Order: sequence, then structure tokens, then C-alpha cells
Amino acid sequence: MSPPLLIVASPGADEHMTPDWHPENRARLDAALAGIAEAGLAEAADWLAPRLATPAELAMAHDPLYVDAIRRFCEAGGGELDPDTIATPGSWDTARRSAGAVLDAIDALRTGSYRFAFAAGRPPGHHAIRDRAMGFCLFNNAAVGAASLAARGERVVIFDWDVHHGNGTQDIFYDDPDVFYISTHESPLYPGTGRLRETGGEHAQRTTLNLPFPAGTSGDVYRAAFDEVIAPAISEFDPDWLIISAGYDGHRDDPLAGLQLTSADYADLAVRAGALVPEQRTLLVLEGGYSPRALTRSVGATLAALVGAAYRPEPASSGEIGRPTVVAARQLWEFA
Amino acid sequence: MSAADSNPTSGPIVVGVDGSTNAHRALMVAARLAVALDVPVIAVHALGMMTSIDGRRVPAAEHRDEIETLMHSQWCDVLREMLGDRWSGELVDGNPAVALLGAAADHDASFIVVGARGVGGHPDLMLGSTSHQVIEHAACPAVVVPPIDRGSASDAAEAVRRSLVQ
Repeated sequence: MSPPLLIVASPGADEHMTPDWHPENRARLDAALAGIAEAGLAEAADWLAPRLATPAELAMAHDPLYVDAIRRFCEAGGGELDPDTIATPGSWDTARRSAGAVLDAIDALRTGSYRFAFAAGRPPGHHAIRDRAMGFCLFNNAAVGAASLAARGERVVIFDWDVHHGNGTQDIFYDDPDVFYISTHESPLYPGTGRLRETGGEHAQRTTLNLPFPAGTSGDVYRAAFDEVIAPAISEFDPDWLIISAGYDGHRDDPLAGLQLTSADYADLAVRAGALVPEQRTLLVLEGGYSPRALTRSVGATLAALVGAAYRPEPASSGEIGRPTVVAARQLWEFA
Repeated sequence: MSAADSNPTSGPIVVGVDGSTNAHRALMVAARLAVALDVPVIAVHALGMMTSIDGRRVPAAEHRDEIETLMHSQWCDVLREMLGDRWSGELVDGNPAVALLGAAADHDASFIVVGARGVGGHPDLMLGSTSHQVIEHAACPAVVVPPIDRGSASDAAEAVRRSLVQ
């Protein structure tokens, strides 16, 4: 009998060598995985070293020419792809491993008895569009996983609670009726996308849901948004799978943004979301999160809540800022 | 029909700024064009997740006000000197090319001016090139200002010739 949780990660193989000043660095992965021990989940989890996603697998979500351009760029020594985004010689394999972790997690959930899986890789993915790296992201890991499921005829919800809008994931699936992209994010903030009225393309109406919140928004409003808008929207879509794009940069201690969430808020969201999909079909994919301590606590609290463990190092937050976003979303989506 | 269609030189000039030397050269070209065409300039800075201030990389969101002040008080000095008050600055979250193209569309720009390489980007690949994306997608004429350290035209011609025969 398997434990309830599968961790797919290989921090020792991380060769995506961003410079010292860069907030998306190797220490992030160590900090995220430290949350598993800190939450006392070592016995509750199996560990799997991820494989490398193949170029063909990456091409499920990306232009094959772009995939090859990244390979050549890394082989040539790498450099800055934009002012935020860096590739180094080791980034090609590390980024493929980050996407491979998602594919391995899906396979393990499908064939094993794990209840939840956590694909913990870097670089993160949700800003990467079909043919471009941006926002620290090279390949869109969650999108590669969702595309692999959609190709098998399965319906997927991607719930992206990273503080930044996942423009890449939205863009890749905007006109795909089988993948429902849901984002809660701070606005205004990079990348400047994710408006409430963006609800899906011509062939995929009501399969994109954006909830842009002002700086200062806290967990009470996120819980209300989930209960009043996100939960009914997910139920209406009736998914087979849930992929949580789990960025933890909405934590109040994160240096890159201004939300006021705590680790307990993420735990509450995960439990709510996991209850809306079939058993053994919930997968978390690490996105952002740039305060090491907040990352440790938030990953620990999220996974602990899913498996019913007691670790909850911070109380849930409240503050009422952002409530108008929930009201506007309820009206737009016609949820009474 | 847009204003730009009816009179291609009636709209403002949109120029990208990021505090770099190349962006300064682009500002000078934009200002000269603006004087010649008698149109205003809109300077656009795209805010990424990180930004550079005095050579330091810092979280953009945390330094938003500082960047706005820098843009208006330092980066765009040349616009103030050459155009007086016939310019404005816009801070836009996101990708630099998208920010420039969006501003050009919003204001019916007559030209977009962009430096060939700002703080980011890679000179040898299309990956990461803001100027390439602007040229590819702009609905109005786009001017790309080369970096100061680029070689002569004959050097450039030779480099292109070599790349074609390899």
C-alpha cells in the first residue's frame, strides 16, 4: 500500500544556475522540499526522481521550433532571454526535468494508489507561452501535463494561485474547451494580463476564469472567492483532473508582491479544490514563491492539509480587501 | 480607418525606455523625429518581475514608485530638454514588446522607436529580442536604434555574409 503522497523532485540534479541576485534560484527548491519534513510528512510520502520530458512531450504545449531554440541556446552557453529570464548550459535538462516531474506525477496518480502528487521542479512554468520564455519560465510545466491529459480526452482544471497571472497557461488553453484555466492573482502586477472579462476563446467559453485582486488581499477573500465563484465554476466544468499551479508568492512575506496570504490560507484552498475532483486526480506543480521561509511553511501546510496532518504554522489571514473582485466575478459568471 | 491610416505622421511617437545606454540612444532618435514631425513622444517602460536601478537588480513591484520617479526625472531627461512638456511617460506591467505595441495601438502612434538591445535580450538569437518582436508585429513604422558598440556597416555586412554561407 502506497503512502498518500508522492513527491516528484530531484534537487540534486538542479543545474539551472541563475545568478546570486536572482530570486528564482536553487535554494527555492530546497526550501520548498524542507516543508515536507517540517510538516512531519516524511512517512506519508514516497519520493520519485523525475525523468526528462522529451522534445515531443514539450511540444504538446510549445512550438517545436521554440523547444529546439531553447536547447541550442543552452548548449551555446545560455544568457538572458529577457531582463527576468535566464538560461544556463544546465537549464535545458533541468527545465525538461521540471516538466517531466509533472508527467511522472500524472502517470503515478493514474496507475498507483497515491491520493496526491507534488511535482516540485524549477524553473517554474506558468508564464512561458507557446513560443517564448518569460517571467523566469522556460517551459510551461503545468501546461505540458494538462495537454497530455487533454490529448487522452480528459478534462482538466488548472487552478493557478501564484500571485502573478499565468499568462502562458491561459494563452495556451484559451480556446481549448477541455482545459479550464482558473487564476487568482494580484493586479496590477507583472505580467499585466488576467482580466476578469477574459473568459475563454470562441470555442471555449467559460473555460478561463480570472480573479484579479488588489495588493493587500488576504485569505478570507480568497476563501470567499473559492466558495462563491471558483467552486461552482469547477463543478459546472466537471473535470477529471485538478492541476494546482502552486506558486507561493502571494504569501505576506514574499518580496515580489503585495498579497497578505499565509500558509494556512493555501492549505484551506487546497482542501477545498481537492474535494471537487475524483480521488487520486489532484496534482500540485510548484510555480513561484521567493521567501524561503514562507515557501517551506506554505508547502508543508498545503500538503499536510491534503493528507489530514496537523501542521499549520500560521493562522489564516483576514482583511476584507479585494471583496469587490468576488462580487464582480459572481455577477459576470452569474453565480447567485 | 485609424488616424494613423489617414495621416501616418500625425500620431505620437512611442519609445521604449529602461534606463540603459541603448534606450537613451533610442530616446534621442525619438526626440529628433518628434521635432521633425511636430508630434509628442510617449515613453514606455515595461515592468518585469525584477528591474534594474543603478545597476542593482531589485523586485519591480517593491520599487514601482522609485522606477516611475526615475523614468520621469532621469531616464527621459533628453525628452524634457528637446521637447519641453510635449512628452509623457507610461509604466506598463509585462513584456516590453507587448507594452510597446499596446501603447502604439492605444495612441495611434506614427512610429515606434526601440533600442536594438536593452538590459536583457541576446544579440545572436531571436529569443528575447524586443526589437525583433516589435518589427514583426507593429502596425506602424518601427525604428530600431543599434547599440553604440556595433561595428561599421561593412562589418555588419560581412557578419551577415558569413552567417549565410555557414
